Amino acid sequence: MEIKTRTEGAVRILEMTGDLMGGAELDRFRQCIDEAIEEEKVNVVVDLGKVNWMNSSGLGMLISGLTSLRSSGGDLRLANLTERIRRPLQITKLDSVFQQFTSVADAVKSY
Amino acid sequence: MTLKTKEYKLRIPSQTDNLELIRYFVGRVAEKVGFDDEDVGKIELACDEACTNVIKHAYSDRSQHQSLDIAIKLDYQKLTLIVTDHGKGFDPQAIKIPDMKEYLAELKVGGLGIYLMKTLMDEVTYDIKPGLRNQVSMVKYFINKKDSMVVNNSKKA
Repeated sequence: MEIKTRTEGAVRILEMTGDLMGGAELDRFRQCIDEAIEEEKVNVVVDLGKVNWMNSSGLGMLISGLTSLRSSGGDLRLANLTERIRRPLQITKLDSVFQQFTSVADAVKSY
Repeated sequence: MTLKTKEYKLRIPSQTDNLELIRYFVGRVAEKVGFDDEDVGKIELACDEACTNVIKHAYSDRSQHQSLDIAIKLDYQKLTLIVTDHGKGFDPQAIKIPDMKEYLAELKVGGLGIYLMKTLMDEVTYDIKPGLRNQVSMVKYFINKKDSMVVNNSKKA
């Protein structure tokens, strides 16, 4: 999994590519979230448009980011979910926890 | 009349890098026997969760034999996916299925894999022989059980 980060105004955008399956990727994701908190960019959009696969470890990774950001006064919102990526979120009902948007622009505007 | 059954098998090293190949194998067999895209996705995800559990937990001792066997058995009414490892095993009774209301309220991290497997498939059973052979079997019926009840009831009427 690759993560590209950029900032638009006060919003930090994490563009993910590949598979979200926890493991070593979790450390890289945690690092991005920690950096966002340190730099006071606690409103984060995770762009999932280039993610091929997500399992329960990937879900755990997103939940961990969400709780850290919310406890720092921010949020983690999701953009560009494909049907395949939406499935584990729906089954676990975590789709009610994450705000989801059809584009990164809409997700950025929501803050 | 004898019932026709088919079996497909894959033996592969227990490594995260191989999960994509495992999903491909399972997904193509499920597709070939007529499951729709949604069910194929569910079967792939359930298999991924079962194999991820083996990679993470069964083979933490690297001196152990580290292969993963995936078998798909087909009969006229169902697909049975069997994931076998030779690792340390676990007590299936000790697994706590998260209460999702509580889970969502507290936003815990982890513990969702087995919940997903049970929700994605129609039946999930374990046969654990620690150090020898551990198996998780997951069944998906070709006709949803609820749909099948509707068909049976309409036949009665």
